[in-house]
Amino acid sequence: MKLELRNISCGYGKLTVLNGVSLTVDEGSVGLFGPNGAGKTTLIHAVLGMVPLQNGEIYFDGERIDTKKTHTIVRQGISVVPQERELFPAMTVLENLQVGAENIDRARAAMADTLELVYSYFPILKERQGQYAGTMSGGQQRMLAVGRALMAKPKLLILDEPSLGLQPSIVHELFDILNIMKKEISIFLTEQNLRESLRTVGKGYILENGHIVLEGDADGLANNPQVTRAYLGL
Amino acid sequence: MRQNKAVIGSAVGFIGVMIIILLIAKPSALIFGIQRAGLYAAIALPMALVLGIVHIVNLAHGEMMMIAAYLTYSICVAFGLDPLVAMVPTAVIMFFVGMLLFRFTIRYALKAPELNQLILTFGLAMVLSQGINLLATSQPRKLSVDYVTSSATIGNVSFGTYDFIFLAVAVIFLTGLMLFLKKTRLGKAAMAVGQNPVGAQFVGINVISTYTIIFAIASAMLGIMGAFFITKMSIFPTVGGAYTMKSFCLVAMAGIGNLPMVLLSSLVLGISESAVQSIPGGTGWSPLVFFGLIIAVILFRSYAKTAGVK
Repeated sequence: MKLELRNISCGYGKLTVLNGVSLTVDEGSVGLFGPNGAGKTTLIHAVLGMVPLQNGEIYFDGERIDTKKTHTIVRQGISVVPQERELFPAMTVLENLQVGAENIDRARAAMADTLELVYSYFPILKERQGQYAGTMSGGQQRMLAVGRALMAKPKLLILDEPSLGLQPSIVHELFDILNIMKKEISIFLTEQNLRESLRTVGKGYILENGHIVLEGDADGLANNPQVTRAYLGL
Repeated sequence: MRQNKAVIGSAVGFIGVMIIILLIAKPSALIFGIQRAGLYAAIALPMALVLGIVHIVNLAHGEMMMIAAYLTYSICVAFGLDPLVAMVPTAVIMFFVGMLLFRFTIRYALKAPELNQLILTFGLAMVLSQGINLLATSQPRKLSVDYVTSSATIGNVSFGTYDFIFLAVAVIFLTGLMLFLKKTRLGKAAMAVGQNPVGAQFVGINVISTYTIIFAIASAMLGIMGAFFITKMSIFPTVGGAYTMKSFCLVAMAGIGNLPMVLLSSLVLGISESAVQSIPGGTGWSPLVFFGLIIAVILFRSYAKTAGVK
């Protein structure tokens, strides 16, 4: 598995959000950090083909994907847990999980096994499998979104600020599970919460105003004075 | 959910009361009302499907049924077929007509403001009805089929039995759609698209082709209805407009995305319309009852929502 962004620029209309960003995600887990408005979500949308590129290319497993449609990119093995979760509110938890696998051939064949795996990560989803997704709490919805993304049997799981809006204990629990998951699949996440995510990622990039300003392994970032001052409040 | 139950409860209660009153006072009005309800529901269900999943108000809905009726008529005249046989090719042709209409027009308005979507489908409605006006003139056309005049007598009430076919079609449409949406992969994907098109892309669903297929299925259903329509009614280029209006009202009354309620609200409206018509001199008042009831339901809904009534 290898996701490669080569010198991409993109934005909305005349506004350029990302300016010449290069980034590589290979086996293991990678974090993208930065303040609000840095362009983290836009970068994820670019990978998913939801924002057209003004410049640059994106490759997934050696194949160029920046000209493809979102559903095709997902079928090729990139699943996303969006910030807004984007669940199906009037479907039950179980139906949300099933629909996550049903439209992708490779995932459909393995649906029963993946469902067991998801339930083992998030027992609460099994308990609530008959409940409508729209009636669950924010934390449970986030877990369902992670579960639904896993149902697609992705090679790469992208999470857009998974800790956003969750209470610290749930954030901690979620990152514990991500730490188990990363042994099976590659994870690419954006975060503002460096303290939790540096436990999980092997490598990180810092994005500010549409530029990568720093990159390095997790230890290097954790000990970088610039990072500790700006993001860890030390 | 709970609010829904209240609405369903009051609809069922209303129908029950009307049935009892009419059974005693005017049994024939009850039968006509049920038959009329079937016709309304069968025409409104495809619109409910499109509105629930594609989220487009198709103001060319009735006109598409009108096109289908003309299509059935031409097939019958050209090949000497029975309209219920001509229904099959009509439905198939309408499936593709719907597909093309979506692919070349509506698709481009999906992200446009709702007003533009309305103007677009209103424009389509005009093009369709005026196109038929040019091709076939405004002269009304009718097929005479003998089986539509069959009748039955219970006690001292006699009524046409063929008209119950509309109710049967409505029930078949509803059951078919529910099975399709709950049990098939494409149907479940369509439900997902209807609830959250962005989320649907994230699980690998091709949203645009799902919209296209759903619109085409709704068009094929209108094809079937067009064929049934011409067995009983005469057609002319502007015959569809009233049905667009009534279908939209029924769907609004039922609540967007709620298919079974379409049948219930059709029963409420059909029976009350025919009850009013059965009063001497009441015929002219029936549209007033139809639209008055809809206004009442919609007002109650918004009141219940704002006041938090469960």
